Amino acid sequence: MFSLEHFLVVGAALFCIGVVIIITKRNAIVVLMGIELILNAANINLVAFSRYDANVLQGQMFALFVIVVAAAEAAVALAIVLRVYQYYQTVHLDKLDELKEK
Amino acid sequence: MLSDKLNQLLQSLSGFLPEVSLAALFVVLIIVDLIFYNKEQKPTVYIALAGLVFVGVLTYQQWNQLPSPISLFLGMIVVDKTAILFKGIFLVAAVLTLLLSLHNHKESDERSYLKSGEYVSLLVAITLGLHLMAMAANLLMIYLSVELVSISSYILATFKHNKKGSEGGLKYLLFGAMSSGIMLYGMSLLYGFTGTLSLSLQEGTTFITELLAVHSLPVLLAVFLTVGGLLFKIAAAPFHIWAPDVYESAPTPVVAFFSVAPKAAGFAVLLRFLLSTWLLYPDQIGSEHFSPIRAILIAIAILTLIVGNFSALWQKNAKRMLAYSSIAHAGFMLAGLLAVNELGWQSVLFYLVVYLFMNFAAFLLIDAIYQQRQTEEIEDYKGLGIQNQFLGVAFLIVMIALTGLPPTAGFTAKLFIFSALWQDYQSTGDNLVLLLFVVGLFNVVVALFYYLRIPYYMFFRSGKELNTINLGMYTVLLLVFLIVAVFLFFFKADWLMNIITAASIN
Repeated sequence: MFSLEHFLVVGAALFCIGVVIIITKRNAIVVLMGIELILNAANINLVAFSRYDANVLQGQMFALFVIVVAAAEAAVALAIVLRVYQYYQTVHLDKLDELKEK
Repeated sequence: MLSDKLNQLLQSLSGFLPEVSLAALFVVLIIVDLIFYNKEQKPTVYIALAGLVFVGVLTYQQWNQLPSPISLFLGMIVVDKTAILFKGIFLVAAVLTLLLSLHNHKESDERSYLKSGEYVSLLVAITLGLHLMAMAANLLMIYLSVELVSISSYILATFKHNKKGSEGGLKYLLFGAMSSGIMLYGMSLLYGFTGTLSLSLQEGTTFITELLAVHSLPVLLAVFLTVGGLLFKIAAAPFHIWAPDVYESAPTPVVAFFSVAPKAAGFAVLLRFLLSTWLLYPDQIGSEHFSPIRAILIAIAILTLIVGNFSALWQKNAKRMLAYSSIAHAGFMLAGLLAVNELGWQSVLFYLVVYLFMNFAAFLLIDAIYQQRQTEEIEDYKGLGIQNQFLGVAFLIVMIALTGLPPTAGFTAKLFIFSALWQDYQSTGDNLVLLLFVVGLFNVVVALFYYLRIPYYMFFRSGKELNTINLGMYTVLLLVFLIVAVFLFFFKADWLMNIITAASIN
């Protein structure tokens, strides 16, 4: 059987993988995928903890809201990425260097 | 059971009128934008202004009719006078942003954002999100309102349709989405430790008693993941990296709004989160369990002050300089919040109100010069003060206010913060607080150099003789209004302080 710990370990692993992707990858789309991993790590935690909650639905409700917000965020993010591509012909983050300390 | 809950939800709507009106205004603006599609002149800005004033009236009525804090929507949000004061700040900021967007705008390409109705409706959506942030008393509500504000901000940040605008927007989005993801992970852990999402103290199982039962290390981790997302909103170091890029690339009125309103809301949530859970009060919870939280937050405040002020020294672009200055101001306000006493967070509120007026004045001046000269470089401001004395003197007054020198309200605000810190040091004898106090004072001196460099260039260096600067009546009136407010809160600081005290009693 699975215990709470199993879910927490999966959640923590996803969180770490997400953070590492965000830090090391240089493609805007891949960074966005890293962010999705972090959000889903939190979702796993929320649903797992919700099992032990006296009024069970709180965590699951939270996870549902997170999924909806993540979809909205992805829509905006991809629109902005498209806009960036129009101007730069690339979504490689290191090549976006118009704004920096002079 | 269910009908009871539905009744409660229906009753809650009456205490929720300003927000309902904001949501309605948002829809109306989108419809009006559709009706006037392809027309040159759109009434959206004026409808938004009228609507925001109407919401302001509703909020004022709410202030007068509120005997004690009320909890709405099954404890999701709490309406108290502090929250209503914050709502006032957001509304004033939104109205000023619209007025700034209107000012003197020519039909140039860069200003085309005013023509699109989305600009105005998104501003209203952010205001709604900020209202919810100020009242949120539940982790879910905090997350949702922060995201409403963030997602709308990402779009607004890209509204300058050029290369820099898109890059700034993408950077803001990536940093923002990551920090809210981390905040969410922290919240999920907090939920696991406590079994509740509600922050209020009234319920049976309270947040803090459950937290005390857990070992302090995981709790500290979860609290810091959560607070990190909020520190991102107020642009405290080391979560400030997005601020200079976004400030440089976004439209100036939007930047003025970003530098004040989401920051104020971030402080509102921090206040609610840290104070209503008693995390900063070892005496109240009878345990030193969580004292590292305060120590680390003090370290963050010190870092924010130093990073903000010293980076501002090297900036050549006026908007970038103001970005670092806003980081430094966040450091001062964080210091006020950490002086854990009544005066401490009253001084944060005072600071926020004053900061609203002086920062909008600064951005209005930068925008006015940009419209005439197409430049935001401080080098190009040489000799402007001689050419147009009103502009020079206005700049001088605003910069003195931002530094925190009398006779402006910037001085009063800093004075309150420092006295709160000193009061806290005397009652606790904590050396960290003393360090924060000293670093704060030292940073006021550093700030003097970069703020006063602009008026110095304007008056004492001669620049190229170009076309004369002509501000126009509208800009002058708006400026005079903002500057009078900055003086008023110095000479009549007790007016504002009385309102704030009234807000904090309940």
